[in-house]
Amino acid sequence: MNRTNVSFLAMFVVTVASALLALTMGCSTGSAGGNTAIAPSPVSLPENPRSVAVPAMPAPNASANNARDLANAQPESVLDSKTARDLDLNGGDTQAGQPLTYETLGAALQKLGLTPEDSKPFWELKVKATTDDKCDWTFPIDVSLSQDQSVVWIACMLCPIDKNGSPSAQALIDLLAANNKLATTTFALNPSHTLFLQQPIPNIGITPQVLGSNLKTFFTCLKQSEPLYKSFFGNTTSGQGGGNPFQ
Amino acid sequence: MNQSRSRICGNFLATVASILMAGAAGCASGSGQSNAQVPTNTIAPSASSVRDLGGLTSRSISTGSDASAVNEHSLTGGAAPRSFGDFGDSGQNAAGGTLTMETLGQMLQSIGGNPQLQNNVYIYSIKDSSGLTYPFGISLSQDQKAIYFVVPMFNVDPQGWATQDALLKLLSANSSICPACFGIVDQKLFLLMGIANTNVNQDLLKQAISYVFDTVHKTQPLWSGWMQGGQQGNPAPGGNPPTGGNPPSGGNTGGSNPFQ
Repeated sequence: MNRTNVSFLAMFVVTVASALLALTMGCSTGSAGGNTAIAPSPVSLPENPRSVAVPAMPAPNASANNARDLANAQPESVLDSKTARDLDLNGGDTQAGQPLTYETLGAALQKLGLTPEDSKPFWELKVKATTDDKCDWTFPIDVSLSQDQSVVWIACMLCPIDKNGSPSAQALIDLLAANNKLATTTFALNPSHTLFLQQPIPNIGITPQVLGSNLKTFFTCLKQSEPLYKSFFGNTTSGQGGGNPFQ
Repeated sequence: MNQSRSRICGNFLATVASILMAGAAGCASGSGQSNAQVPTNTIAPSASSVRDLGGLTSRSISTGSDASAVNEHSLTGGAAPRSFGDFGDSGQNAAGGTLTMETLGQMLQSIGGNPQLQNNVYIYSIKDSSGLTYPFGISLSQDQKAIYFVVPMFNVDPQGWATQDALLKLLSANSSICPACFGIVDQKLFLLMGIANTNVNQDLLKQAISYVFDTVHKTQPLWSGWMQGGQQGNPAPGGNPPTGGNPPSGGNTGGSNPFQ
């Protein structure tokens, strides 16, 4: 009986405390609401079947001066282009016609001399490159189909960023400003708050040559825009053997 | 778990270090801090990217009335919005071709709305059913490989709406609205879309235009609150027409009102 009373008393105390706490929070929320701006509504755009397919497992991110990643990557010569970043928007060989499937996409990459890793739903190329600032990068370049198979996506996951991270508003403005200069290649943030660079190609008559041409364009964009995202990574000093602090 | 904790700890330390470094850089400006020296906007535009938009960057989306504005439907003719996978095809629509500025103009004239040609950009003033009036430009890239559709929205004001949170939301939206995207040109937020300039016919053009208008509407809940003078406003999904008009010119004054 005593134990029941004690339990009851404890529950009562907890209930009263909860009510008081809720009341206090309610009051403070209410008072703050009078002075604080109403937060903008969240981005809740409908799912686009043509967007980059979201893998079940998080895709690897780019890393800087990471010896292990560098050891497992192909040299940039496989994709490096000394030419301008002009797009190959010719839409491929429309007479050849058939849209790429996941399998034929992989075969097209292999035909280009690349060694993609099958990480279904995307083929992943790990390419290492040294940028002008002597930083050794490993870029995981994912090539995939949209959910509805109408778009071939080339994407590179760079690093997680969100409002709790370090990027300044100016750094984000610079990324958005770059979107106008990279033609159809754009910076975006995925639902996991990972910054990535993406390039879509209509999946119509894409030959290995067209795919290769667009991969080179994408890779050039990736390298040339490095000053814009480099600061989101930690220690990128060459030779430090450090890594991406986000990994 | 330990790994997760150490990651969080690492991120925390990195953040603290960044703040300290930023503070140090701020105190010792010009002392060669590498973080402060990161060049911004260093990417040169490619020949396939959006060309110089000229006077279009001084115009903005607004709720003010414009007698010359044409209704959205007069341009699209009710065409269904068409997304990326359909652009650039030619198998079934081989009647089209590669457009020049002249043939693009002729095609737009035949669609209607009487666009004005300024600095190699065909410009419309569009009004929609929610009360918005916005400039809408169509142009070719320098190499003529792409056709760009652009909607100048409002000035980027880091002291007003353009907070870290707002800019992250724009980047997030970019993953959902492709091939359209948000971008910044001359300190102005734009909605942009580029399509291949191959086998473009009138129907395809209408559908592309419809996709841009559709994207303006879909994303309106995101940015409509920012139109009202920054984060103090209610985002008002569906478009809550703010009061006041849009000064049609004047460029970027850097004020807190993104319309100015």
